[in-house]
Amino acid sequence: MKIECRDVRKNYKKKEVLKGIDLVLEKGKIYGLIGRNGAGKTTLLSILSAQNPASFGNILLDGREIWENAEALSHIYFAREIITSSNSNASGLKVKEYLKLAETYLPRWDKDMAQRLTELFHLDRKQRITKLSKGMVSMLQIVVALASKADFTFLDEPVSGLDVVAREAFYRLLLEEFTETERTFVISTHIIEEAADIFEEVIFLHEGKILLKENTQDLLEHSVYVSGKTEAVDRLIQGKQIYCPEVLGRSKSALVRLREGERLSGGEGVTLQGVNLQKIFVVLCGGEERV
Amino acid sequence: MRKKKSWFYHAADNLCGMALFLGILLVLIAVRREEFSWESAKTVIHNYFSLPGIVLAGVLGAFNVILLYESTEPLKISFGCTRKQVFRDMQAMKIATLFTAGILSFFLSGQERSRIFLKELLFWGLLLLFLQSICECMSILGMRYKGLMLVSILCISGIIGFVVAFMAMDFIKNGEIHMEWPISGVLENWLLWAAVFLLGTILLVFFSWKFFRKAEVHI
Repeated sequence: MKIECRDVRKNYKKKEVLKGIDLVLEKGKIYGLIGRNGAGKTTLLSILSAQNPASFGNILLDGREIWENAEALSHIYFAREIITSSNSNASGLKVKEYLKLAETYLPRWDKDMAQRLTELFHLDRKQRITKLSKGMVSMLQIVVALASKADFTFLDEPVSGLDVVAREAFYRLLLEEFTETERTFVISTHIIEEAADIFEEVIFLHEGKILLKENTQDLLEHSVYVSGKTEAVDRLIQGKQIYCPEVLGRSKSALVRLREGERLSGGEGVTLQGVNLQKIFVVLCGGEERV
Repeated sequence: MRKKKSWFYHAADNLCGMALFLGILLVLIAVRREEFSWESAKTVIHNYFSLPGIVLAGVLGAFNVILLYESTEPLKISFGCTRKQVFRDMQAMKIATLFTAGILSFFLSGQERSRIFLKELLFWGLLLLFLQSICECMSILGMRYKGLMLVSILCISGIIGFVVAFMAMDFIKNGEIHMEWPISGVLENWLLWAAVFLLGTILLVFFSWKFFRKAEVHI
């Protein structure tokens, strides 16, 4: 089972938010969708789940168009950030009413799991959604996402507003669920380093385009930060795929992405350092604002 | 609430609202008259549960249409319902509300089961279906332009307020409500008006679907 995204574009009036996305999401993986604010993450996830229409392109589940396809949609759930302002759609509902609606319309709903998670997160079922704190709303979003049991579950900023204990609990629950069911999760987040260990693959979305989609481990193993004397660094990185070279006086630094089978060996006056996911993201997507 | 019967529950909500409102009216009239007999209750039911009944159910239905598009319908889409299912359920709710209220009105009208009454019933049924379709169209547009939603809520609240104030004034003055609808002129051309409302409704439903099938969902 896989979701295929073919040349998906989304325009809001003259603004092009998604610029021809081609993407394949396979079953049984946890994807991290990472991008800056306004990169188009929520728009992409809402189109992948047929909550919003694409301006152009197709989304297919095993070759079948998902738009207005009830059978295909029963395999997909997008837990988007719930707006808690008074004019949002969920604002008038209590937690238990929201869960009841989810139970009614999500075909694979696990009632016991929803009950267990609600208790675990100490969610007050009688509380109105507008009265919940940001963290509590995120918890509700997580409860529905996990209890939906959808084969493809997309979570938009699930840990936003959560304290560190709740975030750890979420990552643990997610891994447990993933191990047991082999569901596919796509998680968009800004807290990259914390979640990096659970992402099997990362997708960098930058200015409406997929900049990178790669296995997390391979990406980290093939990325090296090189710094040292300018001449020595230049000699070492010659012919390599480099990003963001910076010269400071007589020193130079750059991020090198090694190709398959390529190796770097440090010499005199050169330091090689491993990089983390956040650093790679900043280098690739930081642009002029990068410090 | 079961997934496939949501329209049924919403239609039942409208009819229960109508029954509750008219029940309160019945009690108020009984209290005002300081006496209660089955005969007088029957007269009141005949008077108020016939045409005012369908009007009330229709207006409550219109209000419900706005509320549903404002609250649960986008959530249903976010939980995986197709837009076609959601829209079809809404049409079923509108028709079920007016059809059931029409049948109730017909059977509760007592002596009034004449040709004229049937014409009036049909006229009001189609007018209310038209009103509900206007509210539906505004609500769907309101998913994109929030201001429009406020306009439709304001209009329906105004209509409900006007009807209630009209009834309350009559009740305070005379101890009874004389629902004299100024539609006798219209009824002479009832077929024309019925056709106008029916055509208007079909057009509104068509445009509502056009807007709704590509509507953006935000929860």
